[in-house]
Amino acid sequence: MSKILLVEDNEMNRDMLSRRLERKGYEVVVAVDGPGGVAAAGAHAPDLILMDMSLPLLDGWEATRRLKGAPATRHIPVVALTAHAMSGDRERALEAGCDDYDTKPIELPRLLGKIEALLAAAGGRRD
Amino acid sequence: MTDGPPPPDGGAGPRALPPQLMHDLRTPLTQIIGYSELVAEEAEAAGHGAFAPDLRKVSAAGYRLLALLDEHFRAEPALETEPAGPTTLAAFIGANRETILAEWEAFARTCAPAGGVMDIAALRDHAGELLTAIAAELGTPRGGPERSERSKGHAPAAFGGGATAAEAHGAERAESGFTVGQMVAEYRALRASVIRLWMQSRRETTPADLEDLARFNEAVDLALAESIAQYTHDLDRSKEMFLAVLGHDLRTPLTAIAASARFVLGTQALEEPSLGLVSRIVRSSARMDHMVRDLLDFTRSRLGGGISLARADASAAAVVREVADEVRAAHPERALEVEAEGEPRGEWDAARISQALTNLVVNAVEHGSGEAPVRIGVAGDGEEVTVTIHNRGPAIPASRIDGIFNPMKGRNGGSSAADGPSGSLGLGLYIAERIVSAHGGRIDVASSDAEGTTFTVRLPRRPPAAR
Repeated sequence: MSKILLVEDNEMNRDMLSRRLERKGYEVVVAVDGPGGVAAAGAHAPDLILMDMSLPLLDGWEATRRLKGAPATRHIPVVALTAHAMSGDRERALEAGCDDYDTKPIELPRLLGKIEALLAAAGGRRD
Repeated sequence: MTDGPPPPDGGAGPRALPPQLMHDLRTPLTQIIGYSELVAEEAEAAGHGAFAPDLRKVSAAGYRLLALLDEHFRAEPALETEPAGPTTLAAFIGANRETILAEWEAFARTCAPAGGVMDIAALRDHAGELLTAIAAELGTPRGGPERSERSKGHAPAAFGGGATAAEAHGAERAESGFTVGQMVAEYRALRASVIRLWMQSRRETTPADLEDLARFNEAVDLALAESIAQYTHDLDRSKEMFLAVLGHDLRTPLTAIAASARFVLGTQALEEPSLGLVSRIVRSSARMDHMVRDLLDFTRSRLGGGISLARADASAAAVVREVADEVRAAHPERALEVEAEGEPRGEWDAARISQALTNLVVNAVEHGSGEAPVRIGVAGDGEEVTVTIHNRGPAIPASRIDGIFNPMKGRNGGSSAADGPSGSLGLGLYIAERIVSAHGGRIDVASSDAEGTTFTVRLPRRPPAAR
């Protein structure tokens, strides 16, 4: 069972997405801000991270930069989630090291497709 | 709202909303969509599939609302704020240059003159440099020696040893055909854009913010003052350049008139009244040539070229006699007396000295009393040769002695020797003073009703370096 870390500050969004992912059979751990996300990635060693970009204390771009800069976490795929498709957000997310990118509202089949593709690629590399 | 520049897209297209408001509107909609889909999934899993179609309708309605929002509104470009909390205005400007410049450029385009030489890329570069300079100004400690000098208008050259960014901006605007009013409007727009965007990024205003704002306004005012000074300087310069070209073009036909008239006189075939009339053409064209030459010298000296000298051994007494002969020819009705004593020789540009003395003697003839002669004295004394030009007549008021050599000083009527010759631009005294100064000398003026008016020219015999 794949483990997903969801870093999201909005409580309802966190609740909604984690429940939908759990229904699809993923184990979900959550963090509510940037530093919490970085710490949880180290502590839980998730297979994939869903990272909201507008986070308090440390935004998603910077949190991703730190995760991708640390040997222990740099292999974990990160999918950026942004509230609305601002022009340039996608470039900024990829620049920060995110592996993929999705916008809210989440269309679950689309997001699941991205998650599965990244997990397959990461699993392939590790074998 | 009237103070702010219009949004970049004007009225067309989706209306801009602050990013936070756009976010706050979308978030509950995405939650309605997400939860209705989640509940539909759970209802189906729990065997309550009958609810699912209605829940999908809730989610579809949510998507429709989102689509409407996206169709009619868009988020303004996001503002960079430091995640760790408050930031300084200088840091804010640094982080949001592009957003500020985009707003400002949209405004600048609305006031660009029709048919002007506008280069939008250059315009933006200047604005960017201005913004950098202003941000740097914000970063300088307040009350430092440099700042206080700048606020008094003594700006150091901050950019590459040349003009400041603001000066470059003023020069560019003068060239592009902007009016001063349009340039001031640009600065207003820059100020308004920065303040509006900054205030929008602040949750609350602190005393440090107010301090920053005051300093920002001061920096904008300084830049504006520098731009205007450069703008007016450049405009003056182009006017004087025009005069210089005009003066040159005037002399060409004048030279032809004078040469032709002298040729006709030289044939000695003329009788009165033709002889007198052609002589008048020679005298008048010579005088006009003199005036045009003064005008050329005036513009050249104002353009920074100064008066050029070709020094050679010369006699002040000889120059004075030639000048007296020329003026007598032009004014046969007036008496001129010349007295010379002492050693009259020195290293001067004789043609220039002749021009200066002619201006002074003509001035004395035109403004002195017609009943008494104009007396010209030459006295050699040690290191200097002194030439005095004296005329009787009403005194020059004391209030006009100061600045008598300044052509910009108002000359309103009157008949004293401070007034320019009738019909002239009044440049004669100015040119005389420039020429004497170029020789390292000076001209003094004394005037009273009892004694008349005396201009005293002191000429060192040698250039300053050679003495």
